[in-house]
Amino acid sequence: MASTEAAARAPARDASVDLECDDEFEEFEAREWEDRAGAGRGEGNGRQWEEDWDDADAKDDFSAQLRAELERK
Amino acid sequence: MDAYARVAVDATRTRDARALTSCVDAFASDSACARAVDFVARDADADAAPRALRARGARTPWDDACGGFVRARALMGEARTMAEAYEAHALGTKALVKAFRGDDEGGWMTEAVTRAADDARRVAVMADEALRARGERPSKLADCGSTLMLVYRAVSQTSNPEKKTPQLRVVNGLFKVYFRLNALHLCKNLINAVNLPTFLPFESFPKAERVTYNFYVGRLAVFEDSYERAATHLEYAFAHCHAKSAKNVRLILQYLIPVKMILGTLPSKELLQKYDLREFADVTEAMRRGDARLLNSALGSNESTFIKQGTYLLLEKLRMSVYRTLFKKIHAIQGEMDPAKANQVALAKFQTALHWCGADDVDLDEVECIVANLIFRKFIKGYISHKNRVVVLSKMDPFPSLKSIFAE
Repeated sequence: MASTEAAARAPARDASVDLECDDEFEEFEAREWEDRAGAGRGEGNGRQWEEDWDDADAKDDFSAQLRAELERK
Repeated sequence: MDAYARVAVDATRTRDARALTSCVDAFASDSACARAVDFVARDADADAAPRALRARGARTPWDDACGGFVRARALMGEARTMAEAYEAHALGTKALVKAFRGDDEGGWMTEAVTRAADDARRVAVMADEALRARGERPSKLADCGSTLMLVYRAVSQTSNPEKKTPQLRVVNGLFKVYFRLNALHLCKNLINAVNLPTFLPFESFPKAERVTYNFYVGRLAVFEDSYERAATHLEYAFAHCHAKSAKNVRLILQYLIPVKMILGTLPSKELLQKYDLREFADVTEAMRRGDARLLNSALGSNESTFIKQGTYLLLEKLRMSVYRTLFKKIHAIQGEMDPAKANQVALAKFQTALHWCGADDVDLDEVECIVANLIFRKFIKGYISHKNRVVVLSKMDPFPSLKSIFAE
């Protein structure tokens, strides 16, 4: 039947999605939705961003090795 | 053809939004459309479909509109005729826009207009793909930009707000086209348009469109080195993005993370893990420790990933921040080793640290240059005594937090 043949030939919209570049924002299926719980701030339990990383005491391995290197010279 | 013509003619007479959209749909697979596609043989002349529609009662410009879409649909079956399919689709879209402009109460057509605009981009991309595959110059996406501008003007130059609802969606479509064509200078006009009083209030658009818009405006700000503006828009996109759209959340974070790091905020381990952004783990750790060696190896081993993402140059900018933290650590160690001269750090010390971090060939002049740069950027407060090859640091807050520097 001719119409079945045409239907089979028809490219699907989903298939054309394959042509999206890696960095192309994909179409959302929904138009509206509720924001994720706690989105933006502390999502779930863990925090998302660290503002105070710079205040930490320099007691890590890297600092110890750096000290050894500076003392050696 | 009869079934399709009946749907099309009825849709335009009864102002049936859904039926019209199904007639416009370039990817439709319903039986009426399929039979119409068979009727319009692929080798038929361009007017065959409009002629057939006219014979079945379609008036102008609906004959050209629906005729164009059916013909496009028929030609889309094969790569060989994909470019022609785009041409037919563009003619259909133009005729649809004409009908839309001619109807002051055309609010019912917005769904079909939106469909046509979205499909135009997809068909253009497929057409260019086909052209590229046979060694011809891809030109349909650029043409699609003009077609979408035509649609944009039609949905904007109207006093009926109901006809304006596709505005933001069309703007987003244009963003996608311009980003793909690397024609970013054209995006500026789009942002200006959104801020015009003729544009519907931003909050009146669906969340899907608001998030998409903010993603692209944020990315654009990244290209312009406006990191705070970029952060604002990307944060909006991240906060409101659909949780299930993993690709989009990832895309947003891909740019938001480097931007926030430049501004002095690091992503937590939980965040990187949750969204599978492991490629940023070492860069983050390098920032935290002031580890120039780790930064280099992280940029090196993920180079192709970062270049593909378009984040490589952005992450390169973190080098100075890492040097700042490294210098801060040297200063702390110096303070313990020689408390009397706590605020005087010999350039040679910094050079030793840089050598140790893998920059084997950096000489003292280059070290001085790096420090001068850090002082100029306000990453370090102090001055260089060139004669003594010593950095004299401010007693008050010699290493302001990166956050406070950018907040100024």
